[in-house]
Amino acid sequence: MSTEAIVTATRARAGKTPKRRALTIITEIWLPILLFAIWWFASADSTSIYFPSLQSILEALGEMLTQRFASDIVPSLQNLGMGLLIAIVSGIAIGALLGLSPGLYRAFQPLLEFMRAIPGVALLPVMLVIFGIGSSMKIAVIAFGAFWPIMMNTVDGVLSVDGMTREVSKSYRLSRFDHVLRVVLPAASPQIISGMRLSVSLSVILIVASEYIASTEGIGYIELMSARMYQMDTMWASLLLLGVLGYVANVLFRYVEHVVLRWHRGVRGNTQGGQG
Amino acid sequence: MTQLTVEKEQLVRPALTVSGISKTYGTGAEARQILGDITFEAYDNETVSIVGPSGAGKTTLLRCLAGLLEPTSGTVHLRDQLVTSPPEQLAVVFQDYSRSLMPWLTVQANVELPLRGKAGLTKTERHERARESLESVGLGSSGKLYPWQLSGGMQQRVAIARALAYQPTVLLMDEPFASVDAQTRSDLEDLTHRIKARYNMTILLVTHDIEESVYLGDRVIVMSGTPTTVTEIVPVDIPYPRDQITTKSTREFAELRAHVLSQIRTTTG
Ligand SMILES: Nc1ncnc2c1ncn2[C@@H]1O[C@H](COP(=O)(O)OP(=O)(O)OP(=O)(O)O)[C@@H](O)[C@H]1O
Ligand SMILES: [Mg+2]
Repeated sequence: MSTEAIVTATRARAGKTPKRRALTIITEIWLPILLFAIWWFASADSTSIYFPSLQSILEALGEMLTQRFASDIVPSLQNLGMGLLIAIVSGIAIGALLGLSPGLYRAFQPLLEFMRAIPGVALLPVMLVIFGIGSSMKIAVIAFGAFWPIMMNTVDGVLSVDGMTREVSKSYRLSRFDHVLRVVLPAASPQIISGMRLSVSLSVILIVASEYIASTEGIGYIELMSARMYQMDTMWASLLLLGVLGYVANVLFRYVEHVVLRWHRGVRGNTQGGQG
Repeated sequence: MTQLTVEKEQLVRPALTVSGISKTYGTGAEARQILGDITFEAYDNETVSIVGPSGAGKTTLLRCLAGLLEPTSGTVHLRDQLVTSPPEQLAVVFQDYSRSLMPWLTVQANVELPLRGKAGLTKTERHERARESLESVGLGSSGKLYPWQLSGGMQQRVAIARALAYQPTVLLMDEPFASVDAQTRSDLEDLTHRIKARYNMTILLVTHDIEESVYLGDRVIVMSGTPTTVTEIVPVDIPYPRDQITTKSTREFAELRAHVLSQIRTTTG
């Protein structure tokens, strides 16, 4: 399903004709392939312990994917997803609440600005003390770090909803529920999405960081352990995997953005004189 | 027709009663009085045009009538009910159509949105009502499109369809045809005539186009001065059906037009 989504996203970006679609894929993919080929051949008979051959790295990656999938990769992804989900739901809910009640927002603003200034990783020791070693601590760190960009952007988005839009909502007596879910949040969605984009990158950093500290599982844990034991191929393999996961997360996110913000592009296209 | 409304007026209160509305923006040294003591009524099935120069406070007045803005003094009644917040029997077509539609909703969903709050409407009824009113403005096949995929005139018709689907007894329109081309404008004017014939509504139409005010109105309220007051209420006794070409070329029409124009001229100096 996810590959299908990615393909659709790439297609949609590529425009309409199959020819142009193919061209876009080729333009995007030739350089990575070339670099990979260079890496493969240049490292083929490497004897350096720090920089093993790509072949042995890929073998280590294959081993990791088969043998440590359930024990390390799944927990990493689960914690990441869970933390992000909590951040998104609570960030949007609290952001909408504060954005819709300016008095409340003004009262909380100094406190929020202060808490937002705390780097997410600085919470690691604190969460460790509170939750101990385990998933809860990692989820808490990710949720905390990823919460702020989403929450602050939601507040911004809600505050900048057009006065006319509010007036329409009011004059047609929309229920509070419809006003928030069908008017305010969609109107704020461009800002909310850009907050979420920040949060996705942040949470990848935070999951790895949390796995470095007092952890017994996860991709970050594999990387740290293999580096300590001089298993360089496994270390590079986990790095490669993190890169790929980050990339895939980004592509998935772009697809979501593409679908959710279709109207936004349409409106912008129109004001620039084009036909949507 | 006029006879009929006069008889009704004696039996029940007018559809809309505006008594002594004034509005001052700001306080202290910043205070600016825009509206001063506006009084008029609008009866059932009547179209009342409101004309006045730009900045006279026409939008301000409409927002007071719609319950969106509290007047500094005076009252607005919808039949017997004092207006303090947006009433259920009233719909507004806003001046700026491009901002009044929700770009994230399809045309159909835009029209349906206000119906969600109407008690006792099932999903299918809501859908059907929206489809019907889109059809009545000639957009029966555009329901699945988004507002930004439509021309300005079509967007304004969506805004009108949304108001019609709401089935108000009083429809307020704020310069609804101001930003469309001449051809679209006369099409929309005739659409307004058809709407009036089909739905039982009182229509209040704000416009700065004098010709339009006469063509569409049963009465024309001329507003001017600082602060703005009602200078004259001109009855338009031109029979229906009215037609862009024949009606507008009658002597009666020309005289009324000239009269309204002179009213605005003399009072603005
Ligand atoms: N919220 C507000 N606060 C302060 N002044 C306002 C506000 N809204 C309108 N005004 C002022 O009130 C006056 C009347 O504005 P209004 O929009 O009602 O005029 P209008 O007759 O609708 O004009 P137009 O024909 O250009 O639409 C203007 O001078 C405007 O600057
Ligand atoms: Mg106006």
